[in-house]
Amino acid sequence: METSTEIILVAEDKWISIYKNTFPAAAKWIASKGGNLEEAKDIFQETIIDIYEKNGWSEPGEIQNEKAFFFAVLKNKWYRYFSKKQLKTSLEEYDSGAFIEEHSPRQVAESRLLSFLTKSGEKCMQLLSAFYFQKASLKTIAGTFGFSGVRSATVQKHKCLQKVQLSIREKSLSYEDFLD
Amino acid sequence: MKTSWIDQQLIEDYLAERLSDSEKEALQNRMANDPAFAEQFKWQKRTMHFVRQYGRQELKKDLEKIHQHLFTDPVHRSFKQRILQFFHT
Repeated sequence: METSTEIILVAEDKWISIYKNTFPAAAKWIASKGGNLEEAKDIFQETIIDIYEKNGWSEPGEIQNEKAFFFAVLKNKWYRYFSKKQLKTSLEEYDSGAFIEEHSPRQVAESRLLSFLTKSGEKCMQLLSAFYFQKASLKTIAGTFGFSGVRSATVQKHKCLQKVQLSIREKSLSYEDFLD
Repeated sequence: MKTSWIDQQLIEDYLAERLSDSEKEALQNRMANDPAFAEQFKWQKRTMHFVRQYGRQELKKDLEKIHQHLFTDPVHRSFKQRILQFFHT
């Protein structure tokens, strides 16, 4: 199995152990609320991603120590999802026609730009994401990306930020209105 | 459109809430009086947004792979069965 992001900070077996230790309780709770496996999976993964984005996990074992917090976020997420789902169901009953999943023009523009950036500048996106999203140190980044040291990683980060920013600027002109 | 290293770092510190009150105020004043700097701020902030979205997208892909792995590899059969039983009605 090959994973891309977590190799930098969190080894694959750590993710598996987090998953195995935490998912059963999450799935059990969501099942008790009437959710299905697919919903349990999505809510669980979104919770992990939110917490990771906020803190980064220098020590992935942390999630095991912060179960109460994890479940507070997860439950909150489920309740928000559930009320949206109910609203959607009642609309469907009301207007027996097809309920079209709504994506705002802004969301469409954003996801197009994101997929462009993923394709055109993957190396830079990986580097920037390692630093800003995963919150890896420049030393770790230097090691992972094969730079000679912290200094060189810093230079690359600066260049990548400029490069990606320029792409976004150029691409955004065509749908400026949506992104503001 | 080359950004100075110092300005880039300054904006980054501001966005990460690492500046003191007086430094923040100085930055806000500069934004109000220096359109080029204000532009730079706007685009750098937007770039950070996309970097985060990218990070989320990639982590989601990885978690998805781990999920598939746990639900298909025979080694984890008992885990899978334990989960599935919650959803039996």
